[in-house]
Amino acid sequence: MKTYKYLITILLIITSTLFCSCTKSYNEIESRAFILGVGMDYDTVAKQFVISAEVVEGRQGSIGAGTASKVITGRGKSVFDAVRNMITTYGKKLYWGHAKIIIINGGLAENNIFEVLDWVNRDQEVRDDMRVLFTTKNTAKQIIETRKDENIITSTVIHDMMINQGSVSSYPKLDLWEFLYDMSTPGIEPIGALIELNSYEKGTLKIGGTAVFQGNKMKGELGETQSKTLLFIRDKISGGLININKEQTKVDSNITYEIFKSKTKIIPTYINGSVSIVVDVNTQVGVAESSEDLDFTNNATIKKLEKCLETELVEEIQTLVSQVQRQYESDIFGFGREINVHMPNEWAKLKNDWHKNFSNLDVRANVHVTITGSALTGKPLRAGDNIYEYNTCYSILYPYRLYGNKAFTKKYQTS
Amino acid sequence: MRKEVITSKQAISMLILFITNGTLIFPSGVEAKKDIWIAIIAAMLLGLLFSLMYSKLLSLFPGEDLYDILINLFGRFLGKLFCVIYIWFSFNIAVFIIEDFTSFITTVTLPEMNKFIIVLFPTALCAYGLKNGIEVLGRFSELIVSTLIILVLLAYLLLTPDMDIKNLMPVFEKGISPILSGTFSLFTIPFGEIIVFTALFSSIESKDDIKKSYLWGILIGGSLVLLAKVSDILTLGIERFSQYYFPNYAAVSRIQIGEFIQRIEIISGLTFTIAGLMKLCICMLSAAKGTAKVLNIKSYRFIVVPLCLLLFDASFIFNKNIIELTNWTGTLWRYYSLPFEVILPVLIFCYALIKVKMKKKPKPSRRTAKIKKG
Repeated sequence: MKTYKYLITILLIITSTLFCSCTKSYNEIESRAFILGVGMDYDTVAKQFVISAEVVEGRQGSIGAGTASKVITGRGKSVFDAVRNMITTYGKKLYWGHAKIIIINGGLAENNIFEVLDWVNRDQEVRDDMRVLFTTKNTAKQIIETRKDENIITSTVIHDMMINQGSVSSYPKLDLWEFLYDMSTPGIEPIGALIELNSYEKGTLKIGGTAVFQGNKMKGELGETQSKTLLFIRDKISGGLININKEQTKVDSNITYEIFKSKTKIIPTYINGSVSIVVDVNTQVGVAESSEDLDFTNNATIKKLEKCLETELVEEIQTLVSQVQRQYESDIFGFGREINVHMPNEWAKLKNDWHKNFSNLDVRANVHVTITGSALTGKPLRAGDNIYEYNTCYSILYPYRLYGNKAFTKKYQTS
Repeated sequence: MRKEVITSKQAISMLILFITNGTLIFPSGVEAKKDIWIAIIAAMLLGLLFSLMYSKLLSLFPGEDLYDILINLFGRFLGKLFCVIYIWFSFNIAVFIIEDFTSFITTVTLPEMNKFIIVLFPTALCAYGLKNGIEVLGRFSELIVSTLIILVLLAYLLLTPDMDIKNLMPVFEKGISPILSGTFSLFTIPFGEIIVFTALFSSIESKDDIKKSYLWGILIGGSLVLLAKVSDILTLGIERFSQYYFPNYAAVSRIQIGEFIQRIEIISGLTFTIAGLMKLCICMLSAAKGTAKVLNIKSYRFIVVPLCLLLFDASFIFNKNIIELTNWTGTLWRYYSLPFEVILPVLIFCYALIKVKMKKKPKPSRRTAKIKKG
């Protein structure tokens, strides 16, 4: 009896595993084309959507096994139509589960972004943790076809750029679901990263800047520095550099700071009886580079630098906010959402004409900067008695640095 | 024949599975918007209230299930009519669970799958489970409920980095009426349906255990629902939450810890399927027991397979697709289920109280006891 039961159990397991795989949805890996990235354009002449997808497939050859990618294009009256029409040129059915990036043409986004994103959101195979990017200077097809040599998979390169955004912070890192969240939540408008062909080096790409949306329409662009400020306000900054020019500092030095940690609070308050926003930024930076020798162990210098950086950031934030208020009337900072959370009664009054109300909103910035360190060196390089010896060594590497140095000119003038 | 007995622990786990099944995965109670947690707590309290009523009803007639009580109270003809009503109700819930199964599997995991296959397996399993009786079902749910709770907790623990407390604020944004509406719909979908258990809990050993099982089952199940809904909204935001057919699935698919732990939304599907199977068995057991009683059949096991075949057919007839299903469950079900879940139980309970008080001396269940034994 026991062996009988045992046999039955084994049989059951085997049959159930067999049944698991033998469904209609069963697919061989070779029969599907794996999409890594997709670009969406609109052909205004033919009135068709043009979808270009980067497809990756395993390769076996005498040189060695590896992966190769190629770009396939489909045209159709709708996005899904175009996607299905790829079969007519490529043969295989596409698999979307591994798609990492989606690049949308700016023209398409300016018209109605919803046309594109609806299918992406609705389809069961497409995952909503893809990264969204926009391109205004080039077509999405151009972007996705760019590669230096055939071994490069462009989509993975772009994906890596997005992953390491934290140490650059000159463009927003956005998953598709974040974009859709911003689009559907009242009081916040979506943004997106911009990508273009690198004009300095052929076959490479460059991400930088932000696309500004109002609802489902793209309104305009922000530059790289502005994007950083935008990320400051949105509390999405986790790193990146801040460059301060000589003219702006009181210590006469070009200084580059690295952002270590930053926390932003958007506080809606009443100023003069009307609702206003205070952007409260608390950031920790370190000195990463300085063009002149400064003593960073000196407390007064640090205080001065902090002060100067604070005023600089306050100015940047206020400039950006007033520019967005004036130019785009689009609440990309999420002020409305904060008012909704903290002042529900006020929001009920403001929300009906929020775009107008947003552009009249009084926004103040309050920045607190702490300089936490100056990397490995604290004392200035050229201080002390060894200044001449040092300078002569240094001049071999960087001779231009010596001109304008008083000690240098003095020494060589006398000799 | 030996009387089947389940422990209170098994009863609690059955209740937990019953409550968590569809509520976890469907956007029920979405009418309450951001205040859904208030609606869930209110619905839970209502459920507790009703469960007290049911346990009192069962303890008034020890050892008898709902159908015995009905026949006992209202006599042969009217009692059997009420029995038919509750058989219909149990069967109806069962059909909707099958509908949920098919709609979930066809929209999310296997879109090209034949509906026949999807319906066949839960129905066959259900028939097998019922043939084995409530003891097996109890043991199964006791075993499976810990897995379910661990999986749900794990999923939401991993989801915490994606949560944003602002998605639940401000409280009472739209006033009290959406909350009431949400409470209503949440009460009718999992918490009111516990009337089905009155047909089963007569198998619990002692009288006190009935009350205990009801209370703990609803508390734990309700807290799981609360946790799941609140986490879903914290992750997705209420606008996105209400857009999805399966918001829970969408929320769990957000889990991404590094590049390593990701794409584990199958947790959501798994909990749904396990709990759904259990709920299906419970409803069908109730229906089978009632049918056996109405038709004067000794053992309900005889009626199980025909009923399951009927279920199989009905699942093809009732709703055609997920759009119809959500329309029905979202808007009409609450009014439709009201007589089964609120009006009739209260009526029966009041009548039972009066009747028991009036004939305190003689034992009230002579006649039906004979039927049951005979």
